[in-house]
Amino acid sequence: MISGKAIRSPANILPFFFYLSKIANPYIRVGLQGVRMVNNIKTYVARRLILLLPTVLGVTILIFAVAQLFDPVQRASLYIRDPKQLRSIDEVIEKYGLNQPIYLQYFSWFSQVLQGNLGWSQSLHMQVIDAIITRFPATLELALYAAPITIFLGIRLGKLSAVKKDTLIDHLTRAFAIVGWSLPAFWLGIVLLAFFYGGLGIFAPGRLSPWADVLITTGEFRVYTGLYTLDAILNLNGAVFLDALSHLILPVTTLTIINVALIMRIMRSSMLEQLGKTYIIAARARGLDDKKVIDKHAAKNALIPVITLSGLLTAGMLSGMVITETIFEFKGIGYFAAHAATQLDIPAVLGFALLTGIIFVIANLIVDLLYAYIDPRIRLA
Amino acid sequence: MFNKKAIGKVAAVIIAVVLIAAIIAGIYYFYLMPKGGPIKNPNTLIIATIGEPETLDPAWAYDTASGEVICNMYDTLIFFDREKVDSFVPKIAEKVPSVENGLVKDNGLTIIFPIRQGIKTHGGGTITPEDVEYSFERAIIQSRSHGPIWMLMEPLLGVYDLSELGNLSDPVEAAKVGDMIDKAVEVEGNNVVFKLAKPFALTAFLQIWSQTWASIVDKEAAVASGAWPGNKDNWVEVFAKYHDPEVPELQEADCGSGPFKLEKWEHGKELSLIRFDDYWTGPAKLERVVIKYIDEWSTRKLMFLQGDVDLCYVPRQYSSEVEGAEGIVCVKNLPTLAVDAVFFTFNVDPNSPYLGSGKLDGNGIPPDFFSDINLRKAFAYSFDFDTYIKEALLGEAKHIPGPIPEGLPFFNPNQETYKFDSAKAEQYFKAAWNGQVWEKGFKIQILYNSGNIPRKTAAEILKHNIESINPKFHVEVIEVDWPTYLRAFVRSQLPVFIIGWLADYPDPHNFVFPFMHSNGDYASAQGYSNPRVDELIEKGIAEINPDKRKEIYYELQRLYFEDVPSFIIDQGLGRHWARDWVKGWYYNPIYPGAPLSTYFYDLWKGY
Amino acid sequence: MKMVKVKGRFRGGESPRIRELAFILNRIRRSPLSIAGIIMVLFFTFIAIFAPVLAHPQPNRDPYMMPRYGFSPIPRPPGPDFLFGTTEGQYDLYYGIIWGTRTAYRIGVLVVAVSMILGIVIGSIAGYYEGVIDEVLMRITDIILAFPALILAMAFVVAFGRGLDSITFALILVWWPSYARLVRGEVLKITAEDFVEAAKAIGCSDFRIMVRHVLPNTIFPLIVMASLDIGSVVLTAAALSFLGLGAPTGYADWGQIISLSRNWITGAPGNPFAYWHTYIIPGVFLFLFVMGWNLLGDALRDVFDPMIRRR
Repeated sequence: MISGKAIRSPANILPFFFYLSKIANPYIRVGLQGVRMVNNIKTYVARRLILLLPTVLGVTILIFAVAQLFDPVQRASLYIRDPKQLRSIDEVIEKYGLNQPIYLQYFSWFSQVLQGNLGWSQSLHMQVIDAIITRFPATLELALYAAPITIFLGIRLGKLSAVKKDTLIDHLTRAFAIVGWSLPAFWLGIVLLAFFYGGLGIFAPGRLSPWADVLITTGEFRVYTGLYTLDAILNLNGAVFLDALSHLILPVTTLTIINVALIMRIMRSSMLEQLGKTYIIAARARGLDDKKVIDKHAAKNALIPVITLSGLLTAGMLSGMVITETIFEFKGIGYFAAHAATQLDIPAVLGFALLTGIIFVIANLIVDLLYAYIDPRIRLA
Repeated sequence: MFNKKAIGKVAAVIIAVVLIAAIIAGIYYFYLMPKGGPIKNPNTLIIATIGEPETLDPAWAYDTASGEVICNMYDTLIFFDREKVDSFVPKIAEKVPSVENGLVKDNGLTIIFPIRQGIKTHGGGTITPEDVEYSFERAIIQSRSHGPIWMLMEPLLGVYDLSELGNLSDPVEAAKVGDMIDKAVEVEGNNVVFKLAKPFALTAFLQIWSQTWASIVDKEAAVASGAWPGNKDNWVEVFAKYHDPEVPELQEADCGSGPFKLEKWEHGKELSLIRFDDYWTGPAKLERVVIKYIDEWSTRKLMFLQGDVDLCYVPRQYSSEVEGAEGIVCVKNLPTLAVDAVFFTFNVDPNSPYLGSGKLDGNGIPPDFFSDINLRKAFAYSFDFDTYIKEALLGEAKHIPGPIPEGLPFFNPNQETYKFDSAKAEQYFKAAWNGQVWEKGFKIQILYNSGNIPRKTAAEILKHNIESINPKFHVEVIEVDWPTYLRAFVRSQLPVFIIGWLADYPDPHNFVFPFMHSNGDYASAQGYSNPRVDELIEKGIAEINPDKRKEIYYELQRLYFEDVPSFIIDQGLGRHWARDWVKGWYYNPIYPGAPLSTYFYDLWKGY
Repeated sequence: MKMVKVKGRFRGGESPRIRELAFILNRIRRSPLSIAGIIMVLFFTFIAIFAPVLAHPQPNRDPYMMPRYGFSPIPRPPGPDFLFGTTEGQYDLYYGIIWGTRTAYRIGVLVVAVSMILGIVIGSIAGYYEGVIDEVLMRITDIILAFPALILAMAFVVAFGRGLDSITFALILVWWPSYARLVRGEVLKITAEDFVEAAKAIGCSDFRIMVRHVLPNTIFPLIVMASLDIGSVVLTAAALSFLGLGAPTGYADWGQIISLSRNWITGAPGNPFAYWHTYIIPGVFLFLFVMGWNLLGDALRDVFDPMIRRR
């Protein structure tokens, strides 16, 4: 797509970075300017990271502000789950400090965070920090497969659609993508599950089959990262690798079908914009190989807005997808954040908000860096 | 380029063929559900249910999800005799105390448990009488504010909360309280002796002592996990550190001696127990029990049908989706110990947003609307019990006259009760508030907690029937979330509420108290108080003689009908769903996992 | 602005606006997907307008609450009594679908319109004035974009009560930043242009410049985004209903109706499609609605974007 050589270069392990290298490859040759750029990059990154703090803090303050909407009795409902516990509601309010002024609660939470303690999550029955650490790998693994596939497919289809504009292929791909986008995620997920698992008995929900679970419990299989496919490689266990992969197929398919239109659409319109530009017309008029014109010039330049969107998409996926996680028993942070929020479990919600805020800012940062790398106009501005 | 095109085309064709084949195969298999074939995971019992345990600390746990696990990790002094709720077998104790064998003395104020020798714990130790004493003392010291230990404290100390005994931060009073706790449970040789503060019906006592909050923990293991070390010198400090903590010390610990050990707990996902081979009556047949917490019904159902799950929680309204499937068995009509009722608040908070205009002018109700018994009777006669049970609960419930469920001792099947009767309802409406209600009409709001469809249905049945009696009667049914519902409830803002009660222990006292005693959870929120009722209830739990108790509880059921502070709309009947290869199951309604599962020790998989 | 009409038959003589219109219609006509999109949107608009005729509301009852015929949880298939069958709890599916169209429009249009207005105001201020104001406003939009929308929606539902209003409010709060960003980007581009400098030089007030010069040139990407977003908003609201946060049970809202079908999708033993109508019918309507707006949005972009056309 970008250059024939890049497609056949050996893939790195992490698909995401594999894809990034495909973009960056041709520019590395050009980017000896990159050496000069490194210093600018450092200050740029530093500046952006410093801006990370107020954004993330802003999110937490916003959450506390939203929590203001609830009075102590409502907040106590997190602990009083059953009528049998009703007689002690006042003690509960006292015990957990639910009737203290909101800014006091914020400061006490904040000071705890500075000491590394994100608090106890009543709805998850564990420390918030533990909840995040144990829950994040599931979401990460899902996003790690779903995002690159979606982006890759989206770009391919977008390009195809743009180049073959107004032909049958264009209409078919657009229709297919839009159909996917218009389907409710939960609907698609359950239908796929019913068909493949209910009907054919393959692709069970969950991350691993029971026999693989037992291996982990007994310690035969060591979990290093929590990403089971990666861990399987590190354990040199092919059976678990295939098992984990097979459990990823349905949720990743669901996510891809739904999100591919997003990328495809941007790529298509961006490509069309590029193809309409005079330099392309000129190149074609000069008789350059059409394929090269499309791939080397139009597509490369068309990628810029696609990168922003891909960054947002990936950040969104990493922030957890409640519905997919619920249906396919892939319980990651999305599921647990939703679970915590419905029960007004403020410490847990804050913990998750911190995490997603950081993810979002980092994603933005990476996107901006890629921009600067690719587009000299932005870099030199 | 030519090559690429050709390859592309071939690939497309192959993909199309594969897809079509998959679709055909899918449709084929869809209509041929998997048969009862070879047993999957033969030594592992896999249970799929919703929710997850709150804790594994026996003194903390009050929810059934925790109870179900703790029940199999820990042993109690005595336990229910299989299906029976009022008959017991000894476990850690050698004998079940009774008046006949002399282990119950002083008119029921002293109860002695001889302790069995040689019971091993998961950590390699043995259970001694000191462990038993420690377990109870520790539980009482911890007694978290919204926990189950009030049930131990009621007979032993005569209170529901330690703070009722004295100020726990004052050294003198704390020492007094500590002393009382110390004296309530003592070791005498090989026996553990309980001294009660007041007479308490023995059956009820034994029932409480058979449940998870009375679990026996291994003191060494507990202390190693950070629990109270057992010191009795500085009570102020002890209470400061170990009373009503934010997080219990044994949250994820295993200090038990039960037939299963904790293998792993992946929060929100699953919990697995592994067989304890040195269990004192011999190892269990199952090697492993895995409880999976899967909230999504469709996912759970598919796993159940595939045989990847052995016992499955099936919400009643979805029974038709699995009924009759191959390899699935269902046991129906199991009487649960859960009742639902419609309650009236006698004196609603005047600031309540659910009173409408707050006056008897047709646009609302006054705060003391339901203090007129005619209105309560009118509402009770307006409820179509049969339609409710048939439609909302699919016929799987019973209409009982009072709060005491069927299956418990002293249930009166012949007690007169309310039935759907529009004529009578009309008569009582006309009599209410000297005819003003009939003349002016009213507007009332009934709230239900989101997600609870049967309660919503009950409210709508009430609405439909009441509104058809007089067009000036308006009933609005509103859905709210639990936090809002709780707030309204706690502040006595709900003029009418529909709520249920699940037994703590299978004795009538556990039902009449919340429903009818002026200090009971529900009655106090309603503002209902009848001194005669209070007197009877207090007598009932202190009465040892079963015949005298019967008299008392029959009278209470009659008073319930007469006073109608609330009316019972159903006692649920449960279903047990399992794969046909699960054997050994029996039903005991008080078991925390019932009717889904039972004591895992008795279960195995086979044909 | 008066048009000087030149009477004549040659094309150059017609007013530019009519020529523009003819061009647009021609482009649309050539694209079957755009036509499909327009037809779908018109179809749903028709249903929404004529909802009370197509499905009579019951007297003394909120017309948006679906009528209930019994209490049994088992959905009934389409038949002579119920055109589309009933959902879990015996709600009339046909009624729900028809009035659900109105609900979809209400949510979609309301959220998008208000977000757009908010976004335009904030984005244009940020883009026009640049500097510190821009930084601060962009930080705020950053914070809101980073904020987990689901949690906000949940909090609103619990605090303000179950209902579409809470959801609408929450969605507006999280949706406007993307418009603000878009508008800001466009405004930055436009304000760099010469004609804006010229206007400033003449002494036009900032407000006048923004309203008469800057905004009209930024409007097209906004319109495209808005038309695409209507579908997204409805999908998001449906997802929230699925999570139990949307309209109360029994409300005529497609998402709510589909969430009622959630536990019946796997069917009965021996008949996996026994309850197909509960999820297929509302699913199809929802999906066609979203797709119609998407296609319309794509059509608008294809037609209006000056970069793409005129080749």
